[in-house]
This record gives sequence, C-alpha cells and structure tokens, in this order.
Amino acid sequence: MIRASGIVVRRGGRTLVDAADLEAPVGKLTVVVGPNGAGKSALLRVLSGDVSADAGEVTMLDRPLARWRREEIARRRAVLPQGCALNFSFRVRDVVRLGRLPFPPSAADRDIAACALEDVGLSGFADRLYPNLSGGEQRRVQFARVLAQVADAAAAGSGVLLLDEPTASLDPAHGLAALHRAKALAVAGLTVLAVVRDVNLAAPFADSFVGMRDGRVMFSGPPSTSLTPDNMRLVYGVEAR
Amino acid sequence: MASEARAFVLLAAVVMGALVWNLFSGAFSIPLDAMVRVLGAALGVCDPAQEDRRFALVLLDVRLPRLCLACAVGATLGFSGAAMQGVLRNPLAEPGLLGTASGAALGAVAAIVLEGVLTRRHDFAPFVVPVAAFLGAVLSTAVVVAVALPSSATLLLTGIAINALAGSAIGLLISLANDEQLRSLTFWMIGSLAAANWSQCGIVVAIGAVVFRHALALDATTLGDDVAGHLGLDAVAVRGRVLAAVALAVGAGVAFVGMVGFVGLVAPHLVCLMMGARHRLVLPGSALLGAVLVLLADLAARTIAAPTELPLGILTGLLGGPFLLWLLIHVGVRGGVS
Repeated sequence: MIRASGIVVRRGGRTLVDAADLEAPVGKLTVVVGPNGAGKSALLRVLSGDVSADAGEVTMLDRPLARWRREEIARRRAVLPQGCALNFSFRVRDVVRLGRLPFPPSAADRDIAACALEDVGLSGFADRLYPNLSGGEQRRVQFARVLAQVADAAAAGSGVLLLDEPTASLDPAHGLAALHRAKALAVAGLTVLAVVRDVNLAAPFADSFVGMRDGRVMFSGPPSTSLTPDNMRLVYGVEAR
Repeated sequence: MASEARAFVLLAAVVMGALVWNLFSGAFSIPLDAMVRVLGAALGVCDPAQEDRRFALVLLDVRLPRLCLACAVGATLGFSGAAMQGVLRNPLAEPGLLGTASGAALGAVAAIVLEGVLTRRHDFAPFVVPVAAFLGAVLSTAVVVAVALPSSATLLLTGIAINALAGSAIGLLISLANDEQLRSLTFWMIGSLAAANWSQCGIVVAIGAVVFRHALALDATTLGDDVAGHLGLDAVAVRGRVLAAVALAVGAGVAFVGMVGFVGLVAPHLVCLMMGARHRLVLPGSALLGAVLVLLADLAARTIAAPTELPLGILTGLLGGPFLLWLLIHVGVRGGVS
C-alpha cells in the first residue's frame, strides 16, 4: 500500500507537485494520468525515493518511506524509471539479472531472469547486446529487469511496483502487454502504481485513476466515476465523450 | 559463457608468454639451464650453485621485481580505467584523462623539488614521494568529481583543466629544481620500471583488491544513480569508495614508475569487445590485458635501443595511441559495439 499526503516538490522556483494526496491500495493497479508537465513523474520520483519532497509524507507498506533502509525496500519494491541511458555493451541477460542484485545469489536467479524476459516477449534476446536493441526493445528489457526484481514480492503477495510510462516508445501490442502484466502483478497482491499518458490504453486495466494537472491532483477514483467528460476537460483541456 | 572463459584463458596465456619473454630478454643474457637452476634454488627445490651467483643477482634482484612491478602497474592502470568508466558512466574516463595521474605526478614532483629546496639535500625519505603522489591523486580526483557530474561532458573538460593546471605547476617546479633533482624529475614525467623492488609490487596489488569487491555494484551504477538506488545501493558511496581506491592505486603506480598513459583507456575497451561489459569480467580482464601491455612496452623499452633504455611512457603512447585510433575508427567506444 502507498499513501502520500500533502506532497510538495519545488525545483528552480517552480512548483512541480502542489500538495498532492494519493492512495494506491494493495492488489490494485492505480494509474496516474495527466498532460505533459502535470507533475506525474515528479510525484512518482518522490515515491521511488529519487527526489525528496519539500513537504508531505509518504507511507509505503505500512512504514514511512524515510524509515525504510535502501537495501531493505529494494527487496519489496521495484521501480521502472522513465528513461534509462545505458551505453555499455551488456548482454540483455546481464541487464535483467541486475534486478536480482538486492537478493542473495541463488540458483533460481537464472530462471527468474528467463521468465521475466519471456514475460516481455524477448526470450530469444538473452545473448543480444543491449546497446544494439531498438528503443522499444531496450524499454522492454528494463521492464524485464523490474519484473525480475519483484518476482519474490509477487510470490509472497506483498510489495510495490512503480512504473513511469511503461508503455512509452512501445507499439500498441507491447504497450497493452506491459499493462496486462502490471495488472496481473496487482492481482497477485502487489500495489502497482503506473504513470500512463494514454488514458484509453490504460482504461481496460486500471482499477483506479488519479488525474493530475499543474502539479495538483484533480480527481481520483475507479474508472466509472473518474473518467467523466468533465474530468477529462479539467485535466487535458479537451472535450471527450 | 564458454567464449568468455576462452578469452580469459587466452589472456592468461598471453600474460605468461609476455612474462617468459621478458624474463629471457635483457642486456645481460642468461642461458636457459642457468635460469632453471636459479629459479629452482629460489623456490628451494635445489641447492644454489656457486657459478650461478651473477645470474641469480640479475634474475632475482633486477628482472623479477621489475616484471612483477610491470604486471602490478599495468594491472592497476587496466582495472582503474575500467572502474572509472563504470562508476562515472563515461567510456572515456581514465586516470590519465581525468587528471588522477597528473595530480599524482604533481605530488611526486613537488615532494622531490620542495624537499630539496627546504633542506638543500636530495636524500628524501622513501615514503615522502609515494605519500605526496597519493595526496595529489586523491585531491585531483576529488576536484574532478566535485566539479563535474558523472556521465556528463564536463567530466572530461574538468579533467583537461586539472591536467593543464598540474602541467603548469610541474613546469613551475621544474624551473625551481637543480640539476640533480631534474634527473629524478624526468623519471616521473615519462615513467620507468628501472627502480623496481619487491615491496612496491605488494602495495600496488593490495589496493587494487578493494576495487574488485565492487564489481556487481559497478554494473548497477552504469544504469544511473537512481536505478542503483532502486536496487538497494548507495551509488554515491560506491562511487566514493571506488574512486578513492583508484586514486590510491594510481597514486602508488605513479609514485613507483611515473606517468604511463593509455593503458587505462585501451585495456577496458578491448576486454569489453572480447567479453562484454560485466565488471566481474571486465575488471580482471582489464587487469590482465593492462599487465600484458606494460610488459610488452617494457620489453620494447629495454630491447629496441639496447643497451640504452627508452622511457616506458613513450612506448605505451606509441603502442596505445594508434591502437586507440583503430578502435575508434573500426569499433567505436565501449558503448557502440556492433
């Protein structure tokens, strides 16, 4: 479970996140939507511990985020960042195996990594060099790394998965597959929070939507009550039906 | 996996070959049977023979320590380059380019010259120069890392600034030096293994061991500080520890043999081509290849113009410069392997 209250992030004189409240329940896929620059990623980076908030509190898995030790939370929580520039010639297999770094080495690591690659549809890519892959393929490898990291948490039915634009630079089929995977992990008991720009793509999978604009949370709730034309106009400034 | 094991066997074989070749070459020729007898006696297998005494002197007190120091320094430069590239996420990071080596040289030169200026004597204590080189290396590395963010272009620019500063300061110190000091100073500028002894090898190797403990963490930091944090690592602490160890190792290397360029850049890139970017393989691989490069450079330095000895730094530059150009033209730097 993730609960964030009154989160404020200021950078360079601009307020990126303005008193945002957010709650992502256990076993649900919560999707944060909003236009560019709405503060979605900034909020997610507060939850992942990359950015410290100027105000507000985050509780993750029943403990304040600040009280989690880095190596301890790494076994319960995985994060897919928006971009990940890796220009060293690692093989795909090695990048995915990095997801197992928080855990003591075990014989199962190889299978977990292979499973994760299969989940993103790249099982034949294990020996390929990461820098030679296309942007979308690299993205899926990073997703597989994250899947390898949450494998234990998913098996235990308790943990957190944070995804920043998991569908970015993926074609629609793989975008849907990524969201499908995220939803499946939520069903398995994880708390999954994803930032997705495309509301339509996320709608079939999301248990709950959080709409942001100008750093503020404008609405939140299940799709039936949150995806209304009024809310779409409020957040995106477009007429929707 | 098998291809990586083969690459290691190949590298190890090349190291052994270079070692044996180096052992046999020199101004003073030693017959094979005498060499076997001397080495056997040194290992306690057989009794030392009276007529082998001068062979034993050359082998055990000159050539072997020199070989070991060449291996240790080459290995240090190799894995230091690999570690710096990983921890700073920059395929061009290298102790020479980032100012670590020139900082160490400045420390060493300052110790030689200022000691002389202060006391009017030239018999400085054996520890003053290495300690000063350590300090110079650590200080210059700290400045570079503090000024420039990792993986940014400013990193190399900061290195250039440090190199220019250190170069000018060294020039200034040289103008203060007397003739006797000048001879010692030339040694730091270009590098030589002529003054090798056993204890130096141990120091260089011991510091390097620290870096190897961080191989997995280095893999994670190449993904960025944030991702390393998500994987449970403190990237800043890893960077600090690895760079401190690298600075110490390079400081020791420079203090003992002077400036030796290009090894830290060439070795990791070539090893990466052979066995991928994983630091668990790249660090030991670069150490082996660095040792080979310095062994071969020293062999050339001793034999090309024998009995005159060429400066080691000139040889590594002659070998490393064209090789780096070839690498850039045909393969690209560590990232763009095709």
